[in-house]
Amino acid sequence: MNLIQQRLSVPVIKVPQGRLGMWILIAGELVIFGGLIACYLLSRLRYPEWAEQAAHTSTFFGALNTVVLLTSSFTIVKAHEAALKKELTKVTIYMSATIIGGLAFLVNKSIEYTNEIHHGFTFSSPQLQESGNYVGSLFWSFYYLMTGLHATHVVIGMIIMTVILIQARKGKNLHRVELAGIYWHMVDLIWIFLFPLLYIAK
Amino acid sequence: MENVRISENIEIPDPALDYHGHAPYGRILLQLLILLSVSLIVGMVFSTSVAVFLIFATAIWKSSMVMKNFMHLKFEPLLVWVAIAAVLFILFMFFFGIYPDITAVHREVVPR
Repeated sequence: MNLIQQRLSVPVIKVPQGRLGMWILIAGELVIFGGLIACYLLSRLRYPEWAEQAAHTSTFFGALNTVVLLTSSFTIVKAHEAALKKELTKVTIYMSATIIGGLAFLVNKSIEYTNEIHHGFTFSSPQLQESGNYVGSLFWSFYYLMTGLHATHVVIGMIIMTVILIQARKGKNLHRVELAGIYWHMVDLIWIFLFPLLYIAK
Repeated sequence: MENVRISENIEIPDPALDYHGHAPYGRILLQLLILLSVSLIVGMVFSTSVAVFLIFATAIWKSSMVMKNFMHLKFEPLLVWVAIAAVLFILFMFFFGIYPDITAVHREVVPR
């Protein structure tokens, strides 16, 4: 049986509504972030000077945040596994670990933003504009827009996760653990592409 | 998979029965971290064009591992695959559609 036959053998009617809804949400998010990434790539190709600005981003913090997000993806999928077995203590531990992972990501991001702002790399950086480097300034606009939008998704994920954790601890709506997990993996996926774009390809 | 009816119109799956198998997650996390290390090393060692190619190849590899094993995409019906593929197709059309306008035209969009 080939891949298409296998997929056709799964009846859509059997897919839980919540999960289907999450996939539709992910498709929408892919358009938003995919569009931004495409614009970034095109501008990067058009303006090689962006490499100079990209050299100022912190690879250490970027890599650290990648480790944090990958690990939190692991903990939420373990929470899902525990939810299916109705092991409520494990669900609580793993979901709490995921929320802490999200918090660690935001703390790292805050430190990183503070350093960059301190060095004058801001939205429409006056320092760069005064020296006539409008292209360089544009890089930082893209940087803050993409990472800021991603961080907003992390915050939303943490709020959703907290609400679901409160319910799951009482054994209610355990199926939502998987939905929170799918959302969190999407946040992880986006970062997997933002990280090389902004932090490694210099 | 059996569903639990919670009202006349809404059914939710019973989590205990919505079991679609689980991959060895610890091993997958380890592989993802190794790929991250590879992309970091590649960024430091190779020339820019080779590094960019290899870094994005590992990013695509990592994302496919997350989608396949963590998001359980391989268990979803064709409809979900079509939705994702349609979005990716639109993005590729967008990218390559405006590529010549941005890169090939000798025009200063933003003053240097």
